Amino acid sequence: MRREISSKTHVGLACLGLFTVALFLTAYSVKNPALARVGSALVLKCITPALGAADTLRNHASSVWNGYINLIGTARQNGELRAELQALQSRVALLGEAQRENSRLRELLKFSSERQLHGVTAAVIGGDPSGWVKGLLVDRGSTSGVAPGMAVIHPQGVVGQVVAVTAYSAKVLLVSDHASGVDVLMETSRARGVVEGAGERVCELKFVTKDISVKVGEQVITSGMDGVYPKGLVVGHVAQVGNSSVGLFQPVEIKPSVDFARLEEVLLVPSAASATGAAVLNYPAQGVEKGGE
Amino acid sequence: MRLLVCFFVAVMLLSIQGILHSVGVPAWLIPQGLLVCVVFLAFYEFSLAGVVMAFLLGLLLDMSSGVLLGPWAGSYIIVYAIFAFLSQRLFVESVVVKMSVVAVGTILGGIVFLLLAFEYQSVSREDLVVLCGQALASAAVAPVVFKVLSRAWRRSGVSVSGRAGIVSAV
Repeated sequence: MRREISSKTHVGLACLGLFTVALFLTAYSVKNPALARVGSALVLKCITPALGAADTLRNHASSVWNGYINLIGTARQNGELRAELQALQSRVALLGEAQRENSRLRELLKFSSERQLHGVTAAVIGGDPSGWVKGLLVDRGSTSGVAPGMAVIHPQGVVGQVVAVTAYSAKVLLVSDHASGVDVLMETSRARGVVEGAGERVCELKFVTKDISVKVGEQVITSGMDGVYPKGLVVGHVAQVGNSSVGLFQPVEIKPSVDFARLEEVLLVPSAASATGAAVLNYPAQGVEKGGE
Repeated sequence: MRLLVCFFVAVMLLSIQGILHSVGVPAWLIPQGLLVCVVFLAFYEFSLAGVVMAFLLGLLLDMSSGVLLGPWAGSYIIVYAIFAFLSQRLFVESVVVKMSVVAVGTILGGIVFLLLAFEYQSVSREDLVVLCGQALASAAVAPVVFKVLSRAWRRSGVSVSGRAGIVSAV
């Protein structure tokens, strides 16, 4: 019992003493804040590792969590961006195509204005479905003023002639078709002849007498005498000159200047023959509609 | 040894308080871990060593604030003294009692601190709200801290059941 009382007294006295110390310290540190700061640095040193570790852990957890959330967002965003990319790619392709078309049409316009040719611009929309006739289909018909017999030309040269017209399309017979014929002039010798189709990408120059010197590579231009093609348009160049011992005329092979397989836009120019039909053609005009006449 | 464990636990609790502050937990939600330790000491370490430890824990908190040295030390001494003398008449085996004692101790400690630091720090209504919040938060963690410290006390052969104050003091 006495021991207990003694212990209580000691504890009570200790409490009193230390409270007094605390009071003294408080009063002293109010006047000298540096004292508090000294101890503060020590305590901070003790708890900083724990705080640092916790901060690292928190940052890690935060980054994992954010990464996960972002991953969900990224997947959705990725899908959206892919769709957007696809749309933009097709748009770029369309714009590129429009730009190229624009460029070709400008060229065609320039060509027609330089040559003072007033016609209708048409886009090539197909070839001859039968495969036996070398022809093209264009997207302009009688409603646009297209009529059979109109010359179809391109800045590269002569393409052919309109042989059939519907309201919204027209059929063009290429110069490379057997039934086609173009009255031409040799550029240097000025000798006349007729170019007729002879194959896929070959024409034949007929009625050039043997006394005329024909050189390979010489250009062949329209004479304007057939009443279809304006004078001076390039038809092609001499690819080969044959030496036949029989007959009055020499066989001359012409390579057309136009690549018919790559034609996209053409110019349809009215000619003297367009009102009455194909003048110099062996090919019969067909499918002529009322509006096209 | 047990007092060293108590000090280590106190430092850990102080670190946790710092972490909670740094992650943006509101001040009224952060428990006063050191005060819980002081209340535990008051009940289970009725001795000079317990008084010194309570004082040191208060000083530790003062030093961690870096503003004033002494008010928390004084405050903890008062809390220790009151509960140490009460411990002979009060059983703290029940969780509810532990929590209640810690809540009261927190408010008491806070009031003493505010009185001691009155010259330096003005008291606002917000301080009282924080104090009440901290009392509840401290009460919430009290059973856990008591359990951890009880284990250390048991390992050093001190009984922590019944009127612990009398038993451990001797």
